[in-house]
This record gives sequence, C-alpha cells and structure tokens, in this order.
Amino acid sequence: MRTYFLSHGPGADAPLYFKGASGATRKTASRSYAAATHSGPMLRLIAALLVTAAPAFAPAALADAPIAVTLQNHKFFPAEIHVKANAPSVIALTNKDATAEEFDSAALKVEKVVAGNSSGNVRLRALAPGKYPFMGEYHSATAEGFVIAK
Amino acid sequence: MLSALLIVFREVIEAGLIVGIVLAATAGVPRRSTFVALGVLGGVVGACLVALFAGELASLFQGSGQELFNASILFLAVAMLTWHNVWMASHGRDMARELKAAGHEVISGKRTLAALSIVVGVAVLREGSEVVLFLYGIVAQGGTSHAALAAGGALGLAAGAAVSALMYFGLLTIPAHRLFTVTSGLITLLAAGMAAQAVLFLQNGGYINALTDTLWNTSWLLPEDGIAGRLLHTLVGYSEAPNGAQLIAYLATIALMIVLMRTMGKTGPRPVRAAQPAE
Repeated sequence: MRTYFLSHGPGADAPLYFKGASGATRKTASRSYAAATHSGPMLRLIAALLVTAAPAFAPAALADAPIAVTLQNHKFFPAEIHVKANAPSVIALTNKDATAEEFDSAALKVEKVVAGNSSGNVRLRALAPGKYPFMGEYHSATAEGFVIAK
Repeated sequence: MLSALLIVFREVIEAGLIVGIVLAATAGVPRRSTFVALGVLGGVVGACLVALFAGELASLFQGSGQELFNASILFLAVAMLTWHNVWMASHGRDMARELKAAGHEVISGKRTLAALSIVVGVAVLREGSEVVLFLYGIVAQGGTSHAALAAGGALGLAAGAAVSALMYFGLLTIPAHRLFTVTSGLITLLAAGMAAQAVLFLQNGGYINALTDTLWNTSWLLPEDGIAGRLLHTLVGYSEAPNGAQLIAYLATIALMIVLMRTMGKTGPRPVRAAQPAE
C-alpha cells in the first residue's frame, strides 16, 4: 500500500513522512518547528514544500477541451453544465467578479478557490450519469448550479 | 450578518475540533498552551497569506498549485499526528506507570508539542483562509455594513469556540488512564481522514488518476454538507461517496499508525520493568 503513495514522484516530500517516526519524521518536525519560530513562519514552510515538490510533479494532460464557465455578479453562466458520463472532464472557470469564490460541491468532491478577476480549472472525475449540484461557497444564495452527466 | 455568522461558525468548528483534541491529548503537559497558541497564531498568519496570494498560489504548477499545497500541508499534519501517537505509545505508557515523574512530562511536552503545534497551525490555516476570503469579499462588495459583518463574524467565532470547548471538556471527563487510549484513537482517525482528503486534492489536481471510481454513496443517509456530516468529516474523515484511492489512503494510514505504535511501543525504554528484581 505504501508504494501507492510513492508512485507520485521520487522528489515528493509526502512519502518520507510515511516511513515512520524514527529518523525522517523527527528531522522534519524539528526543521519545521524551527522555521515556525522565526518571522514569516508559514510562508517559509509553504516555500519549502513547494520547492521540494516542484520537479517531481506535473499534472496529467487533459482528456477533452475544458468547458468554459463564467462567474459574474456571483452567478454561474451557464449554471447547468453538461458533461460526458463515465469520463473525466474539466471546467475552466473564469471569475469576472472582483472577489474570490470557492467552487464547492460535496457531490462532485471539489473545493477550489478562484481568486477575483482570474480563472482556474476544476477537474471532475468520471461521473456516473446524474445531476450533481455545486455552489460558490462565499455567495451560496446566488451562485449555484448543476453538472449533468449523460 | 447571518451568512457571516454561519460560515465563520462552520470553519471555526472544523479547526476548533482539532484544537480540542490536541488540547485533550496534551492535558497536564506544561507549556502546552504556549505551543497551541503559537500554532493558532501561525495558522492565522498563514491563512491571511494564503488568502492574499490565492491567485498566485492557484497559478503555480499548471494551475494545480492550490491542490498541491493543500495536499502537502495535509500530509505534513498526518506525519505530525503519526509521530505524536508513536512517540506517546513508546514513552507515554512508561510515564503513566511512573506516576508522571515531572522530568518525563517536560521531555514529552517539548518533543511532541512542536508537532501538534504544526497540526493546529495547518488546521487553522486551511479553514482560516476560507474565512478571510469570504469576509474580505463581503467587505469589498460593501453590501453589508461593517458593524453587522463584524457582529456576525464574532458570533460565529464565539459559537464555534463554544462547540470546540465542549469537545475538549467532554474528552476531559474521560478518566485519566483511559484518556490516552481515546485521544490516540481520535488522532489516528483524524490522520486517516486527512490522508484521504490529501489524496482527493491530488486527484483534483490531476496527479493521481487511478482508482477514482466512487465505491459507495451514503449521501441519502448522511449528507457531507450537512452539519453532522461536516463534523464527522473533520473528526473521522467521513466521506459520503469515497473512491478507491481515498479508501486505500484512509486504511493505510490507520494500519501504518497501528503497526508503528505497536513496534515502537515495544522497543521503547522500560525503566520500571528493568528495575524489577524478578526480571
């Protein structure tokens, strides 16, 4: 089972942690703790994590062209998104509002923050045919929609 | 105001439950408040930074920076929780047997408090960055008055803290000799849930593309976006529709934790037994 975690790259930090509580983890802990006691604690931690992970990670190529969805005035256009059932798909979400929004769906198992006036890809796993609700968590009164897999 | 109250309440509970468990797991250890406070402080600072640089973070790694970041900090928390549990398994039992000699307590405190401080920091950072983004969005919009927003946020914070305190004091009613077992179990499930969540982020980032099929769906029984579902999601990693990779990560974390606690527990120093003349 451990090989599963190792499978996403040799330079990844995560697998190290699974090797146990003796050497590796202890070293990591003291280093992180040392970083946390200085100024700008989390930033250093973030930088360290991203830098160590960088060479090993590259997301898989997209299968189909992304489906364009726009968020404006805290509403999704289109609010009804059609995807092929049983195949992974990608929603290219463009946030035209000035503030950030979180594309959130328990049914789709997605939580993705898209900053104001920017865009982001929301990856959907292969879905069984059906209707999957989603919402913009920060403006759930207006920002809502469905993914329909057929 | 109501939306501010609800969203702050929800996120505070999620981080607060973890803080409650950490506090219960370190009951009686000197200086633990300092370490937990440092964790919370670091988490709040981190949350503001993550919120501030949300756009930049997201654009890293071909648009998967956010997922990779979330997975990384979750795995970090899993590692820290594992280390704490294993360390306590190898040393905690001896300490309990020796009726908590003051010296041992201080040593244990120094060692694992740093790890748990990081766990608290990660929890606060994750939930906190959502609160910051949400509140900032409302302020920027100017829809609600700042006073109403502040009132809603404060009420949400107070209510969330109250539930977390309930969790903490509830755990403390457990007799001291059993508390260790209970908190170890809670921490194991907490770590397993975080590992499964981390794997989900890696899947959403496009790094893991195997075993993504849903195994079962219990959303009809306990929806994950309801309050009970959310609490169980935070505490034991409940997922209404887990997939294969998540389940493997969940079970592997539990198995690894148990194996490490058993093996390290055996090899740990046993001064009391060694001192017995019969051996």
